Amino acid sequence: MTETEHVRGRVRRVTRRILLGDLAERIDRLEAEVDECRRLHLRLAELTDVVQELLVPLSAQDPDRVKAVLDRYSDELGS
Amino acid sequence: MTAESGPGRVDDVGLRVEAPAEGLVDVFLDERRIWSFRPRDVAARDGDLWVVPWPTDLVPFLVGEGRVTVRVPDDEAPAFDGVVRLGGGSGPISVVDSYGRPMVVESSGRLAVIFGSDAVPDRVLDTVEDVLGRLNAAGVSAFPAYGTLLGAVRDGALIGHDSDADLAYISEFSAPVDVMRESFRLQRLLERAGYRTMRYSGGAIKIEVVEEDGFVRGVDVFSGFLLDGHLGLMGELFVPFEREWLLPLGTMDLAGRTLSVPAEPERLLEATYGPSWRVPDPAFRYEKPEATDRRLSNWFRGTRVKRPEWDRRYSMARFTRPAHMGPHALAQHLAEREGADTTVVEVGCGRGQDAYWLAGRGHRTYAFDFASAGYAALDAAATAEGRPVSYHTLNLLDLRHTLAWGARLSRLTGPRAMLARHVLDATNIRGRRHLFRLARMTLGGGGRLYADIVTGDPHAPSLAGTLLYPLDPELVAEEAAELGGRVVEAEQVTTEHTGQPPVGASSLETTAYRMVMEWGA
Repeated sequence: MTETEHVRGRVRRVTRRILLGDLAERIDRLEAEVDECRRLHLRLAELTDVVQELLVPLSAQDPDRVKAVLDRYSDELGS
Repeated sequence: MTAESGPGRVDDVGLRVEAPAEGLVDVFLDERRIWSFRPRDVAARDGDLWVVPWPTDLVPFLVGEGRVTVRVPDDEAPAFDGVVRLGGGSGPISVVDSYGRPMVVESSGRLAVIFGSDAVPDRVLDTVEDVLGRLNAAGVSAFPAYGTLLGAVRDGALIGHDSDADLAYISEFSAPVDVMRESFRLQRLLERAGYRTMRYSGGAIKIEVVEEDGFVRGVDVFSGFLLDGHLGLMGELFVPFEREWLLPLGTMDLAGRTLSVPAEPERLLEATYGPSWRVPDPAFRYEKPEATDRRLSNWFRGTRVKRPEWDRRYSMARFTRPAHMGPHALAQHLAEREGADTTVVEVGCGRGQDAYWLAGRGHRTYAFDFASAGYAALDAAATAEGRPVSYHTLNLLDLRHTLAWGARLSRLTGPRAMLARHVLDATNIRGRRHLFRLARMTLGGGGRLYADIVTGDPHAPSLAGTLLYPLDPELVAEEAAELGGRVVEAEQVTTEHTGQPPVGASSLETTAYRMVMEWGA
């Protein structure tokens, strides 16, 4: 980066800050927060699937049934 | 060498051709098309010519002599035509797979065996028909999508330059969490029907179809949903869309089969390929808006970090390195410290040689990796020999894999130990936490986890191409402690290189940081 480009960049940044306050930073932060919320969908889906598929059969406390359910669930996950 | 014609040049580096930036360029080897591209996507400008490097995956095949023709479809004269010698070889250049099938560079840059115009891939079509039937019966509205829908609408056939089939369905759910739960359920349904599946994301799976000669093709199944006037369709689209354009489904013929299709398939094709979707384009590339990519990635993705790289490494290793290699030092370290009656659980087994060796010494062994191509050869050998080892796929980035296998392994009886050679440093924080969760569940009755990691400079030459990322041992110890693990042994050790030693390395040895962690009873 040349010195001129460097100075131009600084001027641009300072101008932006003066004109827009911290709006750009707030948008970045909001985007990050939206991303964070979106990422919870996959975690929640995984967790719900495990609970729904395994909880009831496991609570039956039938050892053979528990083994069969665990084996089948893990074998059918694909790769 | 025959005379060359056309203004272009072809050499080991690539092509130098004159062509319009936005236009299509086809490259033929001995009159067979092997690659199509748009200069603006892959080339740099040098005066009047475009300088186009060969695609990386194609380079190993470009050894020998062959007639290369470069054509801009609307031009009468080729941009280049001549017999060239490449890669210092002398025999004919041949771009074929291990079954001798011609391969083509796809728009992604990867080599693939395309459908071509002659043979009808019956098993793929059987699968398409059967899976659509199963999905529609399971409560979603399923249809061919992407290239498969394009082929059906345009020609009533699969597209010759396509290499797999694409299906999609519209869920009745709108929230991504519910769409993913449904996708998990549908994957189980397909596994139970005997299909082998692989998950791309929370909203996409691949069905592996083995053709009669053993060649494996993919039938991809993408989740779709309607949300706030938009169609979300993995893995490319989030666009304004009307429900009536999709439902109720109609029917259409594809290679003699009657299949369900969207109510107005043209609408979906235009949303996918743009207004020029009727014109065939083998170099088409999806250009997803950044907002769509962020949206779909954050909702649905994150369970396949570095997976394509590992798959590629193992698919190449099958041809270049024998599977029957001796054990790594870490496996020997474990064997010296644990009794012969100890059951070993190895996570990240790679080619599988440590599990194979440990089983040969009498240890009941469970070996896991998220890429099954690595261990396939030793899995088959161990089964044939009756060694007490079983190989399974396990994706540490998927909580379901971790918890289900953790529950299953928690039921092991007798002493047990775990082996994780260069796993912590190959995955991310979620993978590390899940590994320690798995250790807590597996070793809850007491037992040790043996791990090697790399430390120090991430740009060290010895790490080039290893797919490993150095870690701070203190951080690893803290993360293990959060899940009940205690470091009982930690030292810098001299050990073997991970993967191929870097070019110019004088020794096969390198260093690793060895950590043995214990979970109490």
